[in-house]
Amino acid sequence: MKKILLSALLTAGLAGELFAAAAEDSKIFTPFFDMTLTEAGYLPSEGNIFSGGNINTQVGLLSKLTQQDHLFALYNFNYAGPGFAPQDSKQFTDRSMSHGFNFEYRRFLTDRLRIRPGVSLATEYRRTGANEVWKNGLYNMNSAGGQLAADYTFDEEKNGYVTAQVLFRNVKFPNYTDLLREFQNANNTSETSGGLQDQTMTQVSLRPAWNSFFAGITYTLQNYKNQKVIAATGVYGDSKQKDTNTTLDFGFHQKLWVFELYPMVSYSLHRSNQNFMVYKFLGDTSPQFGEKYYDFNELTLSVPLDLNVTSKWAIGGAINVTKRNYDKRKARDAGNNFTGSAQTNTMTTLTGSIRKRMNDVAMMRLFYSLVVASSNNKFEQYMPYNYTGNTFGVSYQLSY
Amino acid sequence: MPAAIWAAESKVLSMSGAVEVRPTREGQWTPARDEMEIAEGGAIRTGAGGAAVVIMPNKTKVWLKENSALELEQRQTLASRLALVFGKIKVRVPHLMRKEKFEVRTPAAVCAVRGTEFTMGTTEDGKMELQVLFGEVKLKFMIPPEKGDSEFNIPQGQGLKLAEKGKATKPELLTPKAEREALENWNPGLKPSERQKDLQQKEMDRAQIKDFAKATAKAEDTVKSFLNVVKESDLEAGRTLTDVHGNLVRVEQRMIRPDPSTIQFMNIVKRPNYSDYAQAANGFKYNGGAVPDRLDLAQMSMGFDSALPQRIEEWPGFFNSNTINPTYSSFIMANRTEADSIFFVAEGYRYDATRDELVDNLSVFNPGQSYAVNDSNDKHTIITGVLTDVVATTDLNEAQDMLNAISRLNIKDTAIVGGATYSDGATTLQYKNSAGTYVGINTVGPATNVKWAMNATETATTGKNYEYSVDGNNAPLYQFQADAYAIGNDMTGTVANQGLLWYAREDYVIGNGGGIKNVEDLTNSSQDPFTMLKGVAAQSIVYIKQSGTADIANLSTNGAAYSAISNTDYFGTKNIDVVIIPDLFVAGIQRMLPAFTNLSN
Amino acid sequence: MKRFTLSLAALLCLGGIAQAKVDWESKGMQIAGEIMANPAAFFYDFQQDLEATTPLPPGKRFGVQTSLFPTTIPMTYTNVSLKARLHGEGRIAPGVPQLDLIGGYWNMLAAKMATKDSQTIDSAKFGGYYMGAILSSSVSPRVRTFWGYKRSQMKAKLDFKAGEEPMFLGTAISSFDTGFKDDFFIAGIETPKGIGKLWSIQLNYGIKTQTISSKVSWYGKIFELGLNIYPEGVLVVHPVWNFHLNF
Repeated sequence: MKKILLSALLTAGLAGELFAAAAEDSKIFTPFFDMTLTEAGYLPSEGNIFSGGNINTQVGLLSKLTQQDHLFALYNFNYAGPGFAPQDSKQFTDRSMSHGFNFEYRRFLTDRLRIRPGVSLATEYRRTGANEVWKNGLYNMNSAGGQLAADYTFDEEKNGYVTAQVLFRNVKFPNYTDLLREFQNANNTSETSGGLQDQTMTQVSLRPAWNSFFAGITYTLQNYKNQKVIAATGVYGDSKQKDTNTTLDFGFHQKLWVFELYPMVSYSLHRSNQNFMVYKFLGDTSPQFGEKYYDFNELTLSVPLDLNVTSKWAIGGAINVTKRNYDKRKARDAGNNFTGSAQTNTMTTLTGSIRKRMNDVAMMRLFYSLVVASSNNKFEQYMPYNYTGNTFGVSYQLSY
Repeated sequence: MPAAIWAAESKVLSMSGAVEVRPTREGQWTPARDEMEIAEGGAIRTGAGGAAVVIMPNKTKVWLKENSALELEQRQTLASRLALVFGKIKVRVPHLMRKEKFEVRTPAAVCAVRGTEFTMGTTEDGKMELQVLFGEVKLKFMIPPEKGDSEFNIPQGQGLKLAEKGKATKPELLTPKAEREALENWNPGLKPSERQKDLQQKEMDRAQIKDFAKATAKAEDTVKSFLNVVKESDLEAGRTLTDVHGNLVRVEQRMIRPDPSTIQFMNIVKRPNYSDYAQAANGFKYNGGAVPDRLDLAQMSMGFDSALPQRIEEWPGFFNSNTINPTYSSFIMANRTEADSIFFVAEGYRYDATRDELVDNLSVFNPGQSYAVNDSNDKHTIITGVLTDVVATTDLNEAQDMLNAISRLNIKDTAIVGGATYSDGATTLQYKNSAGTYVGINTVGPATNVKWAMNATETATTGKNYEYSVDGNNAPLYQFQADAYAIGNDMTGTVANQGLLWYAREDYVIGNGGGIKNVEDLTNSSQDPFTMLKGVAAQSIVYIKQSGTADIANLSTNGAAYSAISNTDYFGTKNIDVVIIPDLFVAGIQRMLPAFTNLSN
Repeated sequence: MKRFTLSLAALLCLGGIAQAKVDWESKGMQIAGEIMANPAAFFYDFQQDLEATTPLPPGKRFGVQTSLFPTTIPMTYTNVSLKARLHGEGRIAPGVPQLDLIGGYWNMLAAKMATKDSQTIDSAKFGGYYMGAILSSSVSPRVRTFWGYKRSQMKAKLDFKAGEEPMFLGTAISSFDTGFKDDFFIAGIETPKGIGKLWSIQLNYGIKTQTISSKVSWYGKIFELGLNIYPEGVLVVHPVWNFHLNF
C-alpha cells in the first residue's frame, strides 16, 4: 500500500514539475487533472435514508518523446460509496475504494495504424457497511496485467477508426476464503489463507467507430485458479471454475441545435460452469442445489439527453434500463426456497439534472434520480431486489 | 530556449515585416536585422505587419506585435526598465537575482516584476491594459486617480484595464479569450492561423488523455463487474492470526437469518495444524494431542416472537416502534473437526414472560414453566456432550441435526416437564428431530453421550468454583475459571447423585500475533479504539472435566475446588478452542442499537 | 417490454416519491451507534474541518486562519492555523513549485471546563495538531494544482484523580489515552472565481487508516465557506466556515 501511494506522490509530483510556470510551455509534457466529487442522499422505499458519495481523482501525463512515440501515464483514485446498484451486484451499504495505475506506450507505425501496448496495476478495497477496516475486506482485489491494442483509421475525415485489443489481467483476492464449505460438507477442505477467487482474465475486443457512432464486441474469459465447481452432493469436485462473457454494444453521440443526445445499448451473455448450494443456515442438512447458477443474459439501455440552455447552464435528463434474465437460476420465494421460474431482474432509472459551468475548468451539477427495481426473486434478506428509490445529490468537478 | 548567449547588450532575436531600431539613446532609426544590438537608451518599433522578439542580457524576452514602440530606458546589472510608448508587448521575465529590479512602464503606470510572464498594451494617451499570465506584477499609477487605489499587486490569472489616464480602475479576472490571446505564440513570422497551433495541439493532447482515462476506467470497471458475488449473510468478517499456542488460525464470522424471526451469529475457526500443548500453570490439562485440520465453532442464536423485516436497514425503525420480545437464545461452542462426532457445550435461555427476561434456569428443559428469582431451581444450566451420527445410514447428518435442535432449544426433559425438579440428566432428555417428533437424544447414534447439568449452589463454605487471574496494575488479560455443575440437578443435600462435572474455561485476550494483552494495551494505546480493536481477539478454550468428588461440601476453598477438577475429560479427550474477533460486534451494535435499548437484557 | 412500460407508467405517476418516509429517530440512533463504534473518528472529522490544507494565494507570504463553524462553535475546538510560504513558484528555479508550510493546533475548551468541576477526573486533554507542506504549481494562468503531505494527530487523554480511579477488567486505571494519528497525502486543484476569490477541490487520503475526505471550498479574502465530505464518517457532510488573514 505504501508503495502504491509513494508512486502516486511521485507521479503527481513529476506531473506537476514537468509543466510548471514561468518557463517555456513544455511541448513534451501535457498534464491532466480531474477531480469529481459527488454526494447524494438516497431514500429507498424500504429502509431508512442514507447518504453516499463518489470521489474520483485522475492524474495523468502525456509525454511526447518523439513525434511518433507517445507515453501515457495515469493514476486513478476512485471511492464509490453506498448507493443504488443493479440487483445481484451489491447491497446498498457496500462501498469500495480503488487505486489504479496505467501506463501506455503509443506508436504510430504508419499514418493510419497505431499500436498501444500498456501495463496496468490496480488494487481495490471493498467494505460492507459493517465498519470493518479497509484492509480486511473479504473482497479486496489486486490486479496486474497488460494489454495490447491497435487502432486503424479508415476514414480520417469522418473520424472513422477500428480498435482491436487484447487485455490480460491476473486478479487476486488475498482475503477471500470460505470456511463455511468445510462446515457444510465434511468432504470439502478449505484454504486457511486467501485466494479462493484468484483468476486470470483474458479479454479480446473489436471496436469500430465512425462519425460519432461506435460499436463493439468483447469476449472475456475468466479462468479461476483455485475455485472448483460444486456438485449436487455439496462436494467441490476437481474441475476448476471457468466463466465467459460476450458483450455487444452500440451507441452514438449527436448534437442537434442545443440538444445533445448520446444513447447506448449493450447486450451481454455470461456463462459459467459453476453451480451453487443454498444453505439456509449453518448446519443445514438439506440444502438446495442451484445448477448453472451464474448464467445470464443482460440488456442495458441508456439514453441521456442534454439541453444546453446557455453556455453556462444545461438541463439534462437520462433514462437507464437494465434487464437481466438468468438462464437456469430459479427465483427464490420469501422463504428462501427455489420456485419453478427462472429469475429475472429489471432496474429502471430516471434522472434529471441541472448543470452549471462555472468556468472552463469547473462544473457543478444538481441531480435527482428515481430508481425502480423489480425482480421475481422475493428473497430479499441479504440483497435488495424489489424497491423504488429516490436520489438527490450534488456533484462538483474540476478538470484540466 | 536558444542556447544562452551572454551578450552585453540586448539584441533582436528575430523579426519579420517592418521593424526599426534606434541602437543608442541619441542614434538614428535604422531598419532592423536579426542579431542587431540595442544598447541602454535604445529603442525598437514595429510598423504595420511587423513583429519582433528582443532578448535582454538577463534572459528577459520581449515580443512586440505590430505598431508597437518600446524603449530600453535603463539596463543595468541590478535594475532594468523598459518603456512601452504605444502598442502591445508580451514580456517573459525569468528568475531574477536577489536585488535585481525589473520595471516596465507605460504613459500611465509603472509595473515591477520578478519572474513573471505578462502581456501589456497601451496607447500614447495612457489607455492601457495588462494581462498577467504567470507570477505577479506590482502596478503603480503615475497619476493617482481621484478615487480608488493607485497601487495594485496583480497575480497571475488577473488583468487590468485602464480606460483613461487618471481614472480609477480595479483588477479583474482574465477572460478565457484574453487568456488565449496572451498565451498564443507571439513569435514573428507566423500567420494568424498558426499562432494558436500550439495551444490547439495541447488541447488535443488533453482530450486524448481524457479519452485514455475514460477508456482505462471502463476497462477497470469491467474487471470489477465480473466478480460473482452471492450474498448469503447480513454481515461477514474474517481474519487470519496466531493463537496463544502459536497455531495459525483463520476466523470467519457471519450473521445470518435462517428464518424471518431468528438471528444467527456464527464464529467459525479453522487451524490447519493444532499442536499439542502443556498444561498451563493453574490451568487445565489437554488430552487430545495434535490434530490436523481442526475446526471449531461458536454460535449464538436468538429467536423473536414476530418476524423481523427482511432488510436489515429497516431494523432500527422496526425495533423502535414495536414491542418485540425474544423467545429464546442459545450459545453453543463446538469442536467440529469430525462432522459425525461433535463435542459441544451449549447454554440456552428461554424467555420468561412473568419475569420479562431471558433465563437459563430449569425452564430450558421445561418450556413455559416459570421459576421465581433466586429459587433453588433458578441457576445456570448447560447441555454438553458428544453427538454422533448413526453410522449405518449415510449422509443423514444426525449429529448436526441434533446440534441444530439444541441451538433452537427444541429440547425438553420429560421428567422435568412431568413436574420433577431433577432427572438423571441423560435418558429423559429429548430433541425434536427432522420429522418433528421428540426423540431421546442419547438414543441416536452409537456413541452419543449428552448430559444436562445445573450449576451447583455456591455458599461461603461449600460448592466453591475455581477462578484464577492475575491482579495488579497492568495485569495481563487472561483468566482461568471452572464451575461445578450437578448432572440433572439431582442433589441430595450437598451430594450430586449423578456426579459433578466441571465446566472449565481458559480465556485470553490476545493480539494478532498470539501474545496476551495487558490492560494498558487497551487503555493507553493512544490509538483510536477502532484501530485498536482490530488487533485484538479473544480466545476461549473449553474443557468438560470429571470431578474428583460428588459432594460440594468438599469444595470449601478455591484451592480445594482446583484439586477436585480431574485431569480426565468427561466426554472423550477433546476440547473446544475458539477464537472470537470483535469485528462484527461493532457492526452489530450499530445496526441493532435500537434493539438493545428496547430489550431489557 | 410490458414490464418496461409499466415501470415507466409508475414513474410518470410520480407516486414513488411519496412512498418512502424518512425515519429520523432511528437514523439518529444509527448515528449514535456509529459514534459509539468509533468515537475517535467522529471527533477527528471536526479536526479535519479546521485543517487549512490549501496553498497561499499567489502573491501572499503568510497566513493565519481560525475555523469558526462547526469547530469553535459548537464543538468548542478553539484553534489557530498558520501558513508560511517558503518560496514562490519559479523563484528558486523555473518550474519549481511554490512551497508552503502549514501547521495548526486546537484544544477543546469544553473538556477543560468540564474537568474543573469533576470529582473523578484530574485533568482532561482533548486536542490535536497538524503540520505539513503543500507544493503548488500553475498549469495555466487560472488553474493551479497543489499536492502535499500533512501529519495529523488528535489526543484524548484523561487522568483520573488518585483514589477515584475507575476499575476496568479488574485493574484500576490511572489514565486513559486514546486518539488518532495518521499521515495524509493531499491533492487538489484550484481556480479563481474573481479577484481574491478562489474555488478549489481537494482530496485528503490517510495512508495508514485509509481515511478519505474531500473538501470543496469557496475561498474569499477573509472568509472561507467550505463543504467537507467525509464519506466514511458519521456526519457525512460538514459545512464549514473559516476566517483567515493573508499577508
